[in-house]
This record gives sequence, C-alpha cells and structure tokens, in this order.
Amino acid sequence: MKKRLVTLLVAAVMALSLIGCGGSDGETKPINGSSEDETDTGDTESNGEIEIDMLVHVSRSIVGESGFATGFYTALDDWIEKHPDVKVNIEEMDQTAYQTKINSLGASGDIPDVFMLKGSWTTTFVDNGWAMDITEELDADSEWKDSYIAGGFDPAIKDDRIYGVPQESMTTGVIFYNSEMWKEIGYDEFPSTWDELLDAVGKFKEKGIATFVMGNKPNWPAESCWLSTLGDRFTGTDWTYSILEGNGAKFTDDSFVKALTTFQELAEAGAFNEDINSIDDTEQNSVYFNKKAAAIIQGTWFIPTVDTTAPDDVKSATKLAILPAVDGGSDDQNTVSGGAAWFLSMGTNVKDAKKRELVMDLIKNLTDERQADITASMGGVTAWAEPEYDAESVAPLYNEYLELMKDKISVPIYDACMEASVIETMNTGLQSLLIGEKTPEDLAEEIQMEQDMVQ
Amino acid sequence: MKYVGLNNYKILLKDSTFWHAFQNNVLITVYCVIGQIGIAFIFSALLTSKWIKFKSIHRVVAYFPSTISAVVVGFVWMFIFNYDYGLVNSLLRALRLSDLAKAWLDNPDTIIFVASIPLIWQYIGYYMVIIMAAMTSIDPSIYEVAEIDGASGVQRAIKITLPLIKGPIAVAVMLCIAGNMKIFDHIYVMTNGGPGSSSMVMALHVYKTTFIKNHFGYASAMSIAILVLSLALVGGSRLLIMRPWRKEEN
Repeated sequence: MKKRLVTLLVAAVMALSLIGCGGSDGETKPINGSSEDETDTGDTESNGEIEIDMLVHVSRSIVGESGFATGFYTALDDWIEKHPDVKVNIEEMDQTAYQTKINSLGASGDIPDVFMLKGSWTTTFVDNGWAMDITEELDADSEWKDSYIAGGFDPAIKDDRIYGVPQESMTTGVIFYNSEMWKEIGYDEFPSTWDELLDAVGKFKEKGIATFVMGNKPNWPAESCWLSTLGDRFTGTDWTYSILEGNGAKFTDDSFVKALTTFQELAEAGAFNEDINSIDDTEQNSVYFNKKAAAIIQGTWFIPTVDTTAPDDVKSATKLAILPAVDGGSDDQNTVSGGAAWFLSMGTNVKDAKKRELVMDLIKNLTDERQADITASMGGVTAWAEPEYDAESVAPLYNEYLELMKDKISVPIYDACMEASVIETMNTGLQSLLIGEKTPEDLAEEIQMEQDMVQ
Repeated sequence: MKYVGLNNYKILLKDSTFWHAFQNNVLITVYCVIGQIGIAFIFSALLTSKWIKFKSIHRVVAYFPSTISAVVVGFVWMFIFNYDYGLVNSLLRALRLSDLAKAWLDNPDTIIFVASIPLIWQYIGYYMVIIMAAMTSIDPSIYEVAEIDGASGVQRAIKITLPLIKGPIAVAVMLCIAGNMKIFDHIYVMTNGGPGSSSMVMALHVYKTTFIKNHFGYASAMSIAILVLSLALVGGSRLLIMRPWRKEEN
C-alpha cells in the first residue's frame, strides 16, 4: 500500500512538472539604480576588491588583424591598468557560442556585469530583467551620448529607455564586385537599374558563372545582407519603424510581398550559386576569390578580409556598389542597410552603486573615441561618428567605402532591430523561398504569424 | 514570467515544423534501422564465416568510424557532398557523369536520405560488434548439422542465425531508435536544418527555439514531447519484436 502511495506521489509530481511557464510577456523586474540597504555582498569580495565579470564575442587572438578587436582590447587593457584595485574577469568566445551562453546565463540569473547585446534581443532581455537601464548615466554625459552616428542607439532603446551603448557599426548590404569580370560582359560600372542587373545575370549564366555567391547555410546572409536593403527599397523605412513599434504595418503588406517576389525572381533567373543553402558565410568568400562568382553582397567586416586574403588580381579588381534601383519601389532608392548592431550593456546583477559607477566608466572607455580611433585607423567601422585616423595608411577599399557612403542613406538592418524569433522565421523561410519551395505570400504570412505571437 | 498551464502543449499540437521534424526523425530512424543493422548483419555474417581473411583488420576498420565525434563526421561528409570540390561530385565529373553531379545538401526532396548516409556509415561498426558477439555465441554444431542437410549460406543466415539472435537484434533496434530520436550534431553541422526546415529534426528544433528564438518555456514543452514520443517508439518496437502475447502459444 505504502509503495503504491509513493508511486502515485511521484506520478503526480511528474505530471505537475509538465505544466510550464511560458512567454516573456509578464511584468518586468524593478530595476534599482543603487541600494544602500543591499545586504547581498556577492558583488564585492571580502577584502574590498571589486570584481567585474565580462562576456564578449570579440577574440583577443585577432588583435592586430581586426580593427575592432584591436581597438576593443587596447581600450580594455588601458582601463584595467588604470584600475589596479578592480579585477576584470573577461570571457571571450565566438559569436554562435556566445549567443547560446549569454541566453543560458540570463535564464539562470547569472547575467554577467558587462555583456554584448544584439539589437534584436533588446525586448527579451529587458522583459526578462537581464539588461540594466542606463538612460540616466547617458543623459548626464550628453557629450558622450551625442558623439555617435544618428540613430546609433535605436535598436537598444525600449520604451524610451536606453539599455546599451553602440559598438561596432556596419553596413550589411555592400556589393563587392569584380570589375574585370563585369567588363567582360560589357558593364564598365555596376548596373544602376534592376533590368540591367537581370540582363547581366543572363550573360553570366551563359558563361557558367554565378552573378552573386551567397553562403546562406547559417541562414542570416539572405536576410541581413540582402533583404534588409531590398525590403526597404519596396516598403520604405517608415514601414520598418511601424513594424518595430507595432503601428499597423504588416509583413503581409503588398510592398513587403513584392520585395520577397523580386528576391525570388532574381534567384529563379539564376543569379546565385547552386549550393546556396549548403555553404556558409566563410566558404562563400573563397568562391568570390576564385572568380567563380562575379559579385558578393557582404558587410563592412569583409573589407579587411579582401585586403588580407584575396588574391592580388581579385583584390585590385574589387569595387563597391549598392543594389540598383527597383521598379515600383518606394521614393528613396539610394539606400543600403546599416547601423549599429551590437551594444555593450550592463547586467542587472550590478546592484552596488560604486560598482555601477565603475562598470559605466568601463563601458564608456570601451565605446568612445579611445577604441573608435584605433579601430578606424585599421579600417574598421564603429558607431562613433567622427573617428580620427590616417586615411593614407588604411586599406584603399575602406576609403572607397567611405566615398560610396557619402550620398547614401542607411536603413535599419532587420536582424539588428527586429525580434529574434521573427528573424529566425524569416531566415529559415528565405532559404526555402530562394529555392522555390515556398511562395512569397506564404512566407509573408508565416513571418506575420510569428510577429503576432510576439506582440 | 506568467503561468500558462497547458498552453505550450496546445501550441505544440499545431506546430507544423515540430511534426515535420518528428516525421524526419522517424524517416531517419527507418533508414538507419535498415542501413545500420541490415548492413551490420551482413558484415557480421561475412566476418564470422570461414572464407574471409584478415578478420581483425576488417573488424577494426568497420568499428573505427563510431569512435569519431559526430561533429567531425558531419564536417567530413559536408565536404564529401560539397558541390564544387566534394568527393562525390569530383568522382562523378571524373567519370564524365557531370549531369549527375548535384548540390546534394540543397535538394529538400532528398536531403533526409543524403543526411542519413553519414549516420549509417558511422554506426555500422557499433551494431556489428553487438551482432557479432551474439553470432559467435551460437553453437557451431547447429551449422554443421544444417550444412549436412544441404542448407546454403543465405538459408543458414536467415533460418538459423536470425532467429537465434533475435534478442540482441531487438536490443540493437531499440538502441538505434533511441539514438536517432536524439540525433542533433550531424544535422546541425551538415545542413543546420536547411534548406528551410526540410532537414529539421526535433532536437535541433528545440535548440533553435531555446537559443535563437528565446522561447524557453515552449522549448521545455517540446522536450517533454520528445521524451514521450521516443518512449512510445522504443516501447512499440520492443512489443513488435518480442511479441509477448505469443509466449503462451509457444
């Protein structure tokens, strides 16, 4: 009898544990700026030494190669040297692993004191009470706050409160094309209309060359590097803001469906490589370098890659452009997706006022001109508006990029600002769209369904 | 955090990607039961026969793949299937069969079969060990009698060996189902569930829901569903093979 009782009890416990807690749409945790009566001494060690935990996806091993990593670590080392009484525990990993780890740490209540926030995570991280509101500190130091590119903070803002300081900035939709190969088919410059582009696609196809190479296995390139620009060309930027703020725009709107249709038609015309969904964003580079593709759409992070790893003939032939104007699109066709995508944020485990001050100071050091100048002098782009650097010594492509961007308008990068789950649905769907497995209408509906679920 | 009761399970019932992933898991399991255990049975039968030479070398080579990490296997096969420089396509082109060279990992219609090949390849040796151990424990005099009666090799394998190692085969099938219900690494490395979600498996769907979509609660519900589904399949297969209801008749 007793045994049966125990069995029943265990069964009951198991059944109960099946019923879960869901969503992140509950109330947010109250955030305390400082708390004098804080009894938790976990922040500080017994001897008074303050420890700051950091988790980043910037690798120290590429200092000297990557402008951003060099600027970041130079500024960090400098700060650590000036604060001998503070112990900074920094952990670094690659971006994919980082994404997994930061989410698990947040879920288990161990969010690090300083971490990197992706724009599309802002809502989740704020609702879950992981990211600290740092509006007051930024407002108090307006000289610092106003030195970033216009709209630099936008993806890290929720309900008018700021949760992160922009770091690296990027333009994701830059076309890198091999001008020699385009000359061979009769184009001295990159096509400026969509019809010309389609004509070029046909000519390259005859020669057995892919016009564009895309390594969409990790599934973000099609959305981040292509659709963010192409979508905006049809919908206009107001639509994107309306989506972000939930003001009535829908993914099923005609303009967005038209963008998806145009994208699919381009793929159907044979503009891309056969193995578009099975090579990744690194493998795609070598296809371009081996001249098996005439162009590649990449972000600004690709500039140093071309400079250091491209064969000489490809390197000298590479020129930059943006997507040609589309027919029947919105008014502004001189646009390209870009902006800050990663932000440095403070974790909500920082409760001690003194520690908070230190962490803010560290964040400032890692995001202002101290790192921006170094990054720029190595050809890296940050969200700092006007870095000082020597234009002579950087990669020629970097100067060409700055020249190209002079009259262009930056529009939001979808995965830098839209909700992560919406983006994942979009990314997965785009893979199917580009091989003709899904219609633009179906995909638009799917994305809208996910969007409805989030809101 | 909000209490949602059984709401996540309601969503789960309507989540077409999850059920598609489950279908893929089942399909992979079918391919693997046939491929892994079937080929392992044939290899074991050959290796326990008296005609094959260098048996220990064959055994080692056949077992070797199961010692490699799944991620490594995934990467190696990803390169083998690569469209431009992969082994398969290079061979086909060398044989002047360029028309047959395909982007193997890009076709949603065949992707599950293609993705099963590395899995089959990796675990043949593992099941071979189990089946060979069972085969060597069969009394050789049974075979001698059968040989005198004029039974051929194939007849002996099907009529004598198979019934006598039914127990170990059942264990192998169970391991195979359990293993394939939790399949993750190979698929993650080779296709990342793509193109679209055509090679999505349950564990990968849970991973993406948790760490990319940030839906922890829903992902936990899915994990419970995987547990239930796997138990049902393993239990079902045991019943089918052992058929306990027939014991009394025997």
